[in-house]
Amino acid sequence: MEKTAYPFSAIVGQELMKLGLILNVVNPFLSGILIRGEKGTAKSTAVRALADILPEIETSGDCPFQCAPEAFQECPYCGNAVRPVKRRKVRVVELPVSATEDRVVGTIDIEHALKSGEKRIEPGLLASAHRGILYIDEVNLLDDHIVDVLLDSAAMGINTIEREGISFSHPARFVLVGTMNPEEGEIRPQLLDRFGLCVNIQGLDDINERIEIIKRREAFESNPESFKKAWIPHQESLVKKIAAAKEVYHDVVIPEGILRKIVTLVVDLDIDGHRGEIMMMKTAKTVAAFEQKKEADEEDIGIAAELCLAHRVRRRPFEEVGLDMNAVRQRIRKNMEAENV
Amino acid sequence: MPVFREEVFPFCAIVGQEAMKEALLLNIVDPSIGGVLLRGKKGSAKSTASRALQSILGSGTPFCTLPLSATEDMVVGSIDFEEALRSGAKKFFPGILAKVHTGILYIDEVNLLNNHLAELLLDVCASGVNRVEREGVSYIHASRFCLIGTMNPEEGEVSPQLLDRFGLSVAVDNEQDVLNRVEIIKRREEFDRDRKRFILRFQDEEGKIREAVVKARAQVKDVFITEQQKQLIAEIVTKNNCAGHRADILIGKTARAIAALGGRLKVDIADIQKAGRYVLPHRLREQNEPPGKQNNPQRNDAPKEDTPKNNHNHGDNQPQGADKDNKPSPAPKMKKLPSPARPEMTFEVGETFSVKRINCAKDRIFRKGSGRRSRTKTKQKLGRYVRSVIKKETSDIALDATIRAAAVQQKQRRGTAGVGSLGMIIREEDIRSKQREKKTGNFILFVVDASGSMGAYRRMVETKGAIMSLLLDAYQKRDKVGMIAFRKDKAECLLAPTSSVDLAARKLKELPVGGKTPLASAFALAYETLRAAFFKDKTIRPIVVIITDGKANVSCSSGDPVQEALGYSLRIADEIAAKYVVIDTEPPGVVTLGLARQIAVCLNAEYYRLPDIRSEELFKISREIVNQ
Repeated sequence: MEKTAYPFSAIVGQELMKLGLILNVVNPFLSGILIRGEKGTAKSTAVRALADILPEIETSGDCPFQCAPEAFQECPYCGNAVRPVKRRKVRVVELPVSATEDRVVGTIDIEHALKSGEKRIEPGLLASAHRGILYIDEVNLLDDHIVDVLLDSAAMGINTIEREGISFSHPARFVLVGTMNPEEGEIRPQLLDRFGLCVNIQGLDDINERIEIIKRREAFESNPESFKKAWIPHQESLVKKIAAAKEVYHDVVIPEGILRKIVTLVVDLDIDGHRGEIMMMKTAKTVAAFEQKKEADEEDIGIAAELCLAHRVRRRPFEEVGLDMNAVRQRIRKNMEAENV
Repeated sequence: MPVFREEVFPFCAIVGQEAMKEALLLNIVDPSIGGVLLRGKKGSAKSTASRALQSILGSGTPFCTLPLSATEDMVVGSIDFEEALRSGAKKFFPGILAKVHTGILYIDEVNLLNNHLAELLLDVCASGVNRVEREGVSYIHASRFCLIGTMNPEEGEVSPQLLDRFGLSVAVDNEQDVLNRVEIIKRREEFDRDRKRFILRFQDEEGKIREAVVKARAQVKDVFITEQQKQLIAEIVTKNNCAGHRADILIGKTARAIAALGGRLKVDIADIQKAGRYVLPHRLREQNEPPGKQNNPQRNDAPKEDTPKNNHNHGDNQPQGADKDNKPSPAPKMKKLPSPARPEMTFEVGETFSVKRINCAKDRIFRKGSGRRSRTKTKQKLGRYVRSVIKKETSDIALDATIRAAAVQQKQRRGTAGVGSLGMIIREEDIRSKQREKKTGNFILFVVDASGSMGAYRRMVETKGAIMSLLLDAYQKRDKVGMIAFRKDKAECLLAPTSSVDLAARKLKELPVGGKTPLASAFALAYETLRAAFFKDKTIRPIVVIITDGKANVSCSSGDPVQEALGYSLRIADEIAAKYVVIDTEPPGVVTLGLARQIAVCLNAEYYRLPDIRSEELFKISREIVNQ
């Protein structure tokens, strides 16, 4: 039986992490979030809790490749068979660190084929995660060749299963959510770069908040069902807010001036590549949508900077992943003052 | 079976990056240029541009991506499994190398490509044919293609041989102009919102580029280049110290392609200069400079100070020979000099460089994990298929061997089973599985001398530089690392085995120098660390790198420190199966004690002097743009 998940809205503090996760639900093009922090900082709890507040999608029947009803014809499984449209929640698929390549990519069962002459394809986790969230706990401990597989499919949006002259590919687009404890080693730079957002979290310092955590935890553990019930209104309003944000996302305007500010900031911080500013723009827009604003403003840039730049501030191979958000904040302030003068 | 192709970002919609775009187009104009390597930091549109090339190519030119996670089967092709089953016949099923013939092979992060795939690719590039001799299939097909690769140099270099296969290279940087960058984000968002509409918007412009390329392709053969210009090319090439004639030929070809793309039928000087900038940067051979040349000021200082010291030593050491049996000679000197004069200090990390290749011999143990240092047997499906064995617990079936095993039984089986629909009847006992080999990382334990003697004449700066270089190498090869430092009266474990090379680097930076040299204690601690590591994982292959001048002067017991250290090193080598490397930091001089060398002998270790661990064979890419 599945363990009852702790309600997302009942997580105390860690606002930036929660926001980062929500933004990815609103806009899958943010391409995921990496949550870095010590043990016991509610990283995994938050990701697992996400499942309850995810929106619904339509799929073509029980297609193992999660194909959308309008795209069933390109689906390797559905082919030309029109199947009844099904609605279900977006999934959080967990990729265990110890997962084998077969499990992740999927496999063609050669032995079965040899004995019976039938082709049998077993879809992997990447197939299950299509159009959903792929969650990797301790992503920094992931084996190198699995990382390669992830990078390949993230880059192409396609996963290919190939063995012994049988080749099979299916779409695999997912939001990558990873958690890690940096004390156990860093993550490969290419993979780091694939995460649109990144937050560094710490245990809470505020005594009252800490007490609140203990209280809620206790209440949850003694009676999960009634605890969940008590939080249903909060959860529901969050779900509504997410749905509303999805609705208005494309109508949010980012004024030219704001775009320039984003670019200037990224240039000033000497960040590699353009992904930093692209992600900042998308994040600012998503934040504005979440707040039901018509235009993204400076406040949204500030939030976007916190979420998008920490892991992109230039570092040499041995420097710590840039955590110095104060420098970023100062920069933003300076740029704005310069403008007001 | 349906093949998915994502809508690609239109080529003409990429803002700026003119050099990169031109270099890519030149390869379509004249595919014999042999491809382009795009070097640059992440997120600078390298991959986007490479993929976008698909929309410029006519439908007759294949564009294939070689994924990093590709298996050998996928690349070279394999036996056609369905056919084998249906008819029992062996037939070749083409791989990427067959599909890509006359087209473009694109490799993202080419510097991270598995070594054996890189070798394989080189063979094919050189010969223009793919020769498959495996799994009982023998098949040859032509495979000529244009190689397009992207890489981030921070992640390690491409091997010189593979580097040479790329006709052109471009150093890609971010777009600097703010307005252009704003345009970049706008277009990206527009593309993500509705790809089809975005592609439609740029359809006309894209068509114009396509037309220009097609026209240039037809014209390039007629572009004229004068004798004088050919001479100029030869001069540029020799002046830039380039090896071989490939560069000459390529500059000529590239210049003509540039002219053709510009709609001209004559090459001009600007074309040649531009071509030089594409062709030369990755071919410039570093002039053979003596190691450490950049460090001139420091280097000049060191010997000067060294000489008086050595002279002094020389005088002091008159009775050295006689002294040897009683007490190690350097010890009293160390006591006298460093303790009061040299308090504990922390030196900065010296210049880093590429290091010699250090790896382990292959053995018979199967390993998980991955990495880039030593070859090992593996149960994962990624490695190279070396032989087949009777089925074990894996699902990695060796088709060829299985069919061979079943073949001899067919007559008899058909007799009993009647005529089935399958060409072959295969049973459990026929199943064979593959045994593979791949590379893994190692566990590298650094044992670092941080005694006062290392502080002399900033030797620690250079030593830290060397260790940092080894760490960089470890990072690129995905090793685990640990670090033990010894100074004052005992050795200390600075870093328990971890894959966080970053942490090791930080510890190294903070490592202070000062005090005596407890070498034996360091060996004792290394022994325990290694034993614990073996306890956790029997299959590890540690490499122990000992960095010291060997001048032990503190013992664990009451014995002679040097003798004790030698004794310990014999024991550790005897009991712990590891590869040992000793890096001797004793400066060359009139009098050298050679103690580190003795330790190396006891450990059966590879021995280097500090300057010798630099790799000399390495091509370094010069970022300089070629002079006119």
